[in-house]
Amino acid sequence: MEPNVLSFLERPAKGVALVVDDTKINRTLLCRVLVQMGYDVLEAENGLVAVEMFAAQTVDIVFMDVMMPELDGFAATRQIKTLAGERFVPVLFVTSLNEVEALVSCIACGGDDILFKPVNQSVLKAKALGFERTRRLHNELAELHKQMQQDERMAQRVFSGMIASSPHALADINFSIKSAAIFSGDVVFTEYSPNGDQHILLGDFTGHGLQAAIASTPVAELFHGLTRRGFSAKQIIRRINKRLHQVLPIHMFMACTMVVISRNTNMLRVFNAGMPDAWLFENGQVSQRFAAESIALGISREINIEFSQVSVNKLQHLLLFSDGVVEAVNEREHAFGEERLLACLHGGEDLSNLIPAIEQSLAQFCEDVPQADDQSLVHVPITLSNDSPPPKHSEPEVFDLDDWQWQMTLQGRSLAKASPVSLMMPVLEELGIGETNSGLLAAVVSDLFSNALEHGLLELDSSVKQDELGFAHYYQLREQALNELTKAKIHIKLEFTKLPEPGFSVELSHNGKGFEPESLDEPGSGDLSGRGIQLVQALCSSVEYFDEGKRVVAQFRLDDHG
Amino acid sequence: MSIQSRLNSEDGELVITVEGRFDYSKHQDFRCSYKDQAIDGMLLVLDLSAAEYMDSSALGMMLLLKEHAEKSQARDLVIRRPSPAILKVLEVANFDKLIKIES
Repeated sequence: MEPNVLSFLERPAKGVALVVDDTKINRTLLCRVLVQMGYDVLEAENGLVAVEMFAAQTVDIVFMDVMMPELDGFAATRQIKTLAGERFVPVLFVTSLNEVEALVSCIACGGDDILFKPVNQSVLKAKALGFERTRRLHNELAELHKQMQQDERMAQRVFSGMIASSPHALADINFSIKSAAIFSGDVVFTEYSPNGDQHILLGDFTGHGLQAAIASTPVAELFHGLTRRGFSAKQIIRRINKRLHQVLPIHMFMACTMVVISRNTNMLRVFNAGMPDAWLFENGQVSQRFAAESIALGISREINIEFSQVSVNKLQHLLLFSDGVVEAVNEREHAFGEERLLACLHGGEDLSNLIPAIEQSLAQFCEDVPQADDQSLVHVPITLSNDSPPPKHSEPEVFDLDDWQWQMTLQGRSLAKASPVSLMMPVLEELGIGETNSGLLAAVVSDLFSNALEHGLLELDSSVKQDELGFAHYYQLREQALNELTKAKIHIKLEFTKLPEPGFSVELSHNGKGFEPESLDEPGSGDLSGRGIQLVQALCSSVEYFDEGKRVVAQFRLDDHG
Repeated sequence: MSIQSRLNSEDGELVITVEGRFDYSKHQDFRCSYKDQAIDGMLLVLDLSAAEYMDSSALGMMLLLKEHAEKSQARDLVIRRPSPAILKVLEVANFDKLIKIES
């Protein structure tokens, strides 16, 4: 042996060694070597005594004989390993046995290595020091693991607070998320919209654990904030999709089901993006399935968002679940499957315990097989849990933007092609103007535009719109005239200012003939025309015409409409 | 198509659904959605839950629908589930006194 290799053996060992052997001379010989190495030693004359000693004091390494009265080395090792729990205490068998079966048993019962009698001192020292190293690594790892679990539990508490839904909305649904790790990659959010609709979202991120959970914070913020501010479910999904597309790495995405329940009109709307079917059921029978019609969110910047809409009655229930439920497997690798889930729906009249019943059925099926994926269930009774209407919390829109302007000019045949309102709406949405204000601004711009186009540029006479035929005729004339335009221009300017109060100045100008706004009289209740300007005036705080009606400026206050 | 009509003979309803913009660009589709339907004794429902906004030309179209409903002896005409923005436009134009609105 090289001298520098041997010097390894000179390193002192530390800790308490327990020597177990029924022959005194063997114990004495072994102990002498161990004391030389630097160990404090304990001696036990059989397995039973060894276990008792191990339980009573801290032992760092065990040298174990095989054949002993009272309790043999295998059984004693099993008990010692159980007592050690998370702590790594190496057990080295010291044996003269040399049959394969006995050697395998030494390791099978939990032993860590084997030394053959007569014990070679250098081998003993080398092995003992080697295990010292392993023991340090193991304990460091255990410490780090404990620390990580504490961090995760702490983070989970903070995190749950950040993504929590309002208690009132939560009271109207039943749900459960059983996560495979401390953090769940499944999320359930619900909130009431100012118009009384309840929005519910069940999401399932790729994977599970912390990496899956992390992206749920922006989703929670968008879902709750936009719902409270009166955004439509479609707008909310579009915004969530865009945000996830921005923040998620390519391989990650979120499957989800978005549900809108309008209990006062008994309408249910569902949008399923990559989740298992949502079930509408009654008397234990599924009457309708809402299958995925879209790819999951976060994959593509633009997605097609179509909600399926059905009338519902108060006896019906909706069940949403993540794939972790139907794909949970038992020991024989059989999946729980839809059939077993369907069987749980036959819960009689009282379905308030539907979710616990499903969970029980799942637990019975899977027995001890560890859960591989997050399992979530959402059960929504269509009837209200109490018949009081939800609170009409109309949260004011937050205008945390600085001033901005949007303008465009349409000329000639582009006037026939483009609708300024369609072009304006995505801009408003992007800049966070809520659905109601956007809808009202759209009405204002649409009517100002029609007026400029039809009266200023095309010089059409509204009085043609006297009856159904006239109405159609008018729009026919409009189309013809539009096609002949080449030089005509309409300029639109939308200016958002935050101060003194948040609002828009809408300015439209054209290069046609002026018209007298006063000539547009107030219409009778049955008249088919002449409402445009009146409507704009009612929706805006002021409407002013300049340059003989060729330019109009309307002021639209955001606070007026909430 | 962004305007659809669905005849529900069991409930005696003709439901016209408008999606997205409800303005002059819809006048032809809107008229087509009801003009060839037999609606006497039926309830005409204009479902606006999916409509983003409406302007004054849509008000004109509603008046035509109302006229058609009366001529064809429909049982009644109701506007169903307008968004807050559309409801406001209807109220400003006093249409809530002209046509029943189910929120």
